[in-house]
Amino acid sequence: MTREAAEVSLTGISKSFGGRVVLDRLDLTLDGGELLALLGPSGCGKTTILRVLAGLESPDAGTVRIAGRDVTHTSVRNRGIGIVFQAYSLFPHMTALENVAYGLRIRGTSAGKRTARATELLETVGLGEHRDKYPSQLSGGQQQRVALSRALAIEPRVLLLDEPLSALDAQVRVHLRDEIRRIQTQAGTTTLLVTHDQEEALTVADRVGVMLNGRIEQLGTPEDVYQRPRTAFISEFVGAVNRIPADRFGAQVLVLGRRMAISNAAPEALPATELEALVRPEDLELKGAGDGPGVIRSLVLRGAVTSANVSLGGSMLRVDLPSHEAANFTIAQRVDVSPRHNTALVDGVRNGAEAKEEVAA
Amino acid sequence: MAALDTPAGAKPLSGRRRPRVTGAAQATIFAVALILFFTPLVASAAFGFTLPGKGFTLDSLDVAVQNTSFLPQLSSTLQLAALSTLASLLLLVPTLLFLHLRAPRMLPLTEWLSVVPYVVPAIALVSGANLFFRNMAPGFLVSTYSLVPFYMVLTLPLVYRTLDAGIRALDIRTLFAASASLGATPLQTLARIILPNLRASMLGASLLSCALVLGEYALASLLLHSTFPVFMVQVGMNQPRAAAALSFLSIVVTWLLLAALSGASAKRTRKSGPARSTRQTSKDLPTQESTPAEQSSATKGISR
Repeated sequence: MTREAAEVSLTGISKSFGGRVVLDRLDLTLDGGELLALLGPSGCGKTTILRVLAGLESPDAGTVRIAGRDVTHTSVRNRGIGIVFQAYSLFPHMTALENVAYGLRIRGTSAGKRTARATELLETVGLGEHRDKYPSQLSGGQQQRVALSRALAIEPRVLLLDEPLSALDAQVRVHLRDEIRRIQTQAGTTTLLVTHDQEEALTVADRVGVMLNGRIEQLGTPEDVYQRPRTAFISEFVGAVNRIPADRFGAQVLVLGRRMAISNAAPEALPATELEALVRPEDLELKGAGDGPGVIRSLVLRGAVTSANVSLGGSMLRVDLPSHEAANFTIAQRVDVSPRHNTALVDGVRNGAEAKEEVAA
Repeated sequence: MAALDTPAGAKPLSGRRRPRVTGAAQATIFAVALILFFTPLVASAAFGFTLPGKGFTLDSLDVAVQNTSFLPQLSSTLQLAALSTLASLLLLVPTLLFLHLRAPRMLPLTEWLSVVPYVVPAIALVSGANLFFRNMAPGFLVSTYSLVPFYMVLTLPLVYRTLDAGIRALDIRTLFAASASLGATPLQTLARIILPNLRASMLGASLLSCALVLGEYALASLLLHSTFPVFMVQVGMNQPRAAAALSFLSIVVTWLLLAALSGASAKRTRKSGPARSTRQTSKDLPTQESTPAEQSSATKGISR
């Protein structure tokens, strides 16, 4: 497993299917050994990027390089990649062990060597005692672990994970994503993870790229993407967010009686009124106040945090606070709500729910 | 796999009566079906293997087998069945794989086309073929083997459907992609992954195709070829007992053949199991805290 981690670069990739542009001159670079997650709603082109990198789709324009070598026109089997698919990719007529050893068998590795290697890999993912079972005898989570071992068996230069957890139960998903991270770190393989689950991307990846309509809207560390989203779409896609009516004064915005710096790229271009500030529930603070403008309508225990739904000036706000603090509040109590931070992303007032694609500049 | 559904040792306490009622109904229906099914068979066997005043006898068979072309007919029919089946598989397996991989939009059309042989009666097929071949290639229809293409057309709906179902049960695109990413060429994937997994449906298709060809009478007799079914009809004209005995035997033999084929495919299926019957059970994993993923998706609504 001590193969030099390969750098991957995609430059100017365009791809359209039947006249519909799926990828539009897209650039993406993966550093050697990093795990990059592409996050986006379905149809945003993230899977197409993975398939272009894998060689399962050929781009209309652009170059794919793995470890400096142009592989744009290289077939899938010569790219040195391992792929874990969403589901049903194991060979049904082979045992777990045979599945993992398949890649080595194709390469002509001797039977003894490939069995030893496959057994070792299955033990790494905790399936040592299931090596002689057929895929149909394994649970979904176990099947995906076999698929991961199988992809790693050929010591790929790049590992591609195509929504590997989306067909699994929530519990198995959490467990397996940590395991994927552990094994990926151990193997040091450059990895691209495609997912529509923002939590999966944030917890596992070194860097997250949020995609919309064939473009990467923002590429950065999970903290960057979550704390400093560049657009309203990203802010809403990677987590829960409150839209609070606000007015602009120069490069600042007045939110709940507090002045906050606008984090948008061009704050001066925004209109002065009809704005909404996007504030995460945990970035709001509650204070009990007999004459406060807000009223707590409900308290929802979510485990470590509790969400208070507060009606304020005709809108509902969600405020997340540690559950032990939430014990100090009661339903129907009057409260004061204020932001914790000094910057906010601002978006135009949204008319109706259908305007989801609309993104502030 | 059924063991997973009800944990071992956990006997269903309620619902004890219902299975008994449906069980009785099942048994009744099964028995009636068996009687209806076997009565003609047993009757023809009784007719064929007895002579008045003599009881059980194989005389009628002797008459049919001796001094006739029994064996050549049988072997040519078996050859026809094997050849038609083989040719159908050779034609349809690659075609269907190609359609599923490269032209899935054509599938509804080809599926519709595959039923055309049901719509066109044998007599129409034969008179059309007669007109065409007698003018264009008079030599073609002379050989008994010229029946093979006709039988392929005749069995097309069954073979097509069986193979199509088998291919649909596999996610062949993903299997091809997975195999390619592991370094296999398309031919290696075909030989090592796709065909072994299509074995059961290929056996099923062979079974249906063989059964159809072994009993086909109309086409062969209209094209003036002598196959086993044609032979039996001829025998039946002057030796009804022999024909009854022979048809009973041929049904038994066909059954044994089909049972052997389906036995082979069942053994295979039992070994590898149904391809995608598993539902996720998480009992092998430690319990995790409740997932924040649910939380955030549940609260997305407040953002608008």
